[in-house]
Amino acid sequence: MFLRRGRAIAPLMLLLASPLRAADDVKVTTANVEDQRVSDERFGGLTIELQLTGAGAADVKAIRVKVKSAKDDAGTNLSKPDKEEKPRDFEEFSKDRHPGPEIRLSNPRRDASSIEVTGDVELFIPARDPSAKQKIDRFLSQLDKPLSNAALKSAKVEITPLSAKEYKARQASGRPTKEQIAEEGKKHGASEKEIQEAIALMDALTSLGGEEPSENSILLETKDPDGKLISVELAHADGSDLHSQGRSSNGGRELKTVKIDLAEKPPADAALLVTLRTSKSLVTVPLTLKEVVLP
Amino acid sequence: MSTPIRRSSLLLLIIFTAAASASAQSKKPAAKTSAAGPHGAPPQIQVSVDTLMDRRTTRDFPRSELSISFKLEGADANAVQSARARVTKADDDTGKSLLVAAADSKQGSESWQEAHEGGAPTPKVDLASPSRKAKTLATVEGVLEAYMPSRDPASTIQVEKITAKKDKPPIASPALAAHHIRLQVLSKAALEKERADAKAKAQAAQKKSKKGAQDGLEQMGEAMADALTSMLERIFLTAGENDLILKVNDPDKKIFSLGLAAPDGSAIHSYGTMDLDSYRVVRMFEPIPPNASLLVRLKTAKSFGQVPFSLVNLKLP
Repeated sequence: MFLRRGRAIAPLMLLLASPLRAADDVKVTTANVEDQRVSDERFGGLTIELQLTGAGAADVKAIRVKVKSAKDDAGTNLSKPDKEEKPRDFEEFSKDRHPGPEIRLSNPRRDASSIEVTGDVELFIPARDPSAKQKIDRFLSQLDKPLSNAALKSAKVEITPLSAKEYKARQASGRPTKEQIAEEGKKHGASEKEIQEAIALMDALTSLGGEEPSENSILLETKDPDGKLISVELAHADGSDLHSQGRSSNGGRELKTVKIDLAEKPPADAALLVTLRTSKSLVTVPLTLKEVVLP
Repeated sequence: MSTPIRRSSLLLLIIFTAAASASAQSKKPAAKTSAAGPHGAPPQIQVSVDTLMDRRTTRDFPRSELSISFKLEGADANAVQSARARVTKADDDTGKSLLVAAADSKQGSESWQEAHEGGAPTPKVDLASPSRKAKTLATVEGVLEAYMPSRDPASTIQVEKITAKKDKPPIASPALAAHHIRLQVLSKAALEKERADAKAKAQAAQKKSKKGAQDGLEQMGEAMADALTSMLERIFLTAGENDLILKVNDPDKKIFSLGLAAPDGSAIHSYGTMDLDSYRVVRMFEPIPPNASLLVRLKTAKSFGQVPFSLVNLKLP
């Protein structure tokens, strides 16, 4: 009886153990440290580049770092999170990515020689949850209407493939007006001259970055209020990769327009591969960096 | 905060970065100011520190360095069209010398910094990173080199209505000819034709070399034709519709810079010049007005000035 129960439990344990072991295998260490010190204290800061090692690191596709405490050896607090600040988005991760994920902190004292950081690193491991990856077939068949998909809906993610006309219209409506720039500038105490420079820069960036979509472009609008959307890729109907030549996006989590340029006109039956953060796909490992020597 | 507003604040942040100028050091006047140069009165310019940036990193590349941006003030500061600074001595208060050996200095660190719309240029130098234990820069000494074309009328040649000269024969100007300078204004279409011609020549050379055994001279000619084609292709791909494309022949290297001016003499600002072999592209956000002039700034002895500077006890960030 005991043996039989043991046999019944064994496969279940294996299933559970596999991703957990992968997460246990991930170690978070320091790769590089950069202390950028500027006489104008509005700028600069300390950046710590992290490195994920261990057999499980290859399965990690995105990460998010939450710093709980950070101080230098003189006792200076280097992390002063804004209470109203929203949690940061997950960053895409691969072992080949350089530089690796980074933590940004305030400058330590000039005479400090080391720092300590504690916190959590959330690892997104899609292999732990099949529903983290969604394939949406023939997504170009209905433009300018949000895609219908239960997993997207439950994650409160909305993706709308756009026609060129609608894309241009939404881009134009999302651009800040001169009045908005002026208002924001005044809030920051900018002079009239600085505001005019910002407006001129905005015009210049618009003329530079306002590349028109072509017939080879795939245009999307995404809404992702909870930051659950990890990535959006393109595929042929059979699931094979549909290689893009470039991608540009505008906006943030609440509303973003995306232009993906292909080498040729996208096939009508192209599919969208959407990767979503789900609770099952997340593992949290502690972050403990001690006596990190300052350069 | 709405998305557009957030984006605009990012833009402002960029602007503020460029405009950053409020360091404690910037208020300190230079201990030494302008000294008599070889040509005429010395320029009235005071050199102080605008911004210090000590970038300390564990990476091998780019390595740690201290960048100093200088602020130019004084009666002649606004007459400086370009400037660069050469540091001859720089020590932190632990006694460490921050001078970088010429072989290790960053490419472009000696380049001239152009004046911007808001005023005089802010030339930058890159030094070695000071000791972490250092609190101040004990000494920074050097020389500021300033290009001031307004001090020598002969240093500027004005070519009126420059856009009307597009795709015409080289500009007929005795002043340019006196300096052996030949300028031709090209449209993107003309540049494309030059590219097509160069490509055809390269292909013909290749065909010819396939027929018979290639000697060294033919191989060299073929390689040069290929290089010319690819260079013209680069210019063609990067030149914008509003840019001014010039084919320049300046055997004595007399040209210091090229600029554009409105009929009232005010500067028409570009966002940089790209030099590729004998081609120069003046980058423009907006179309060049039809009545705009090209200002060819020449290197003349009178148009340059030197200002030695010596700064002490600069607080490190």
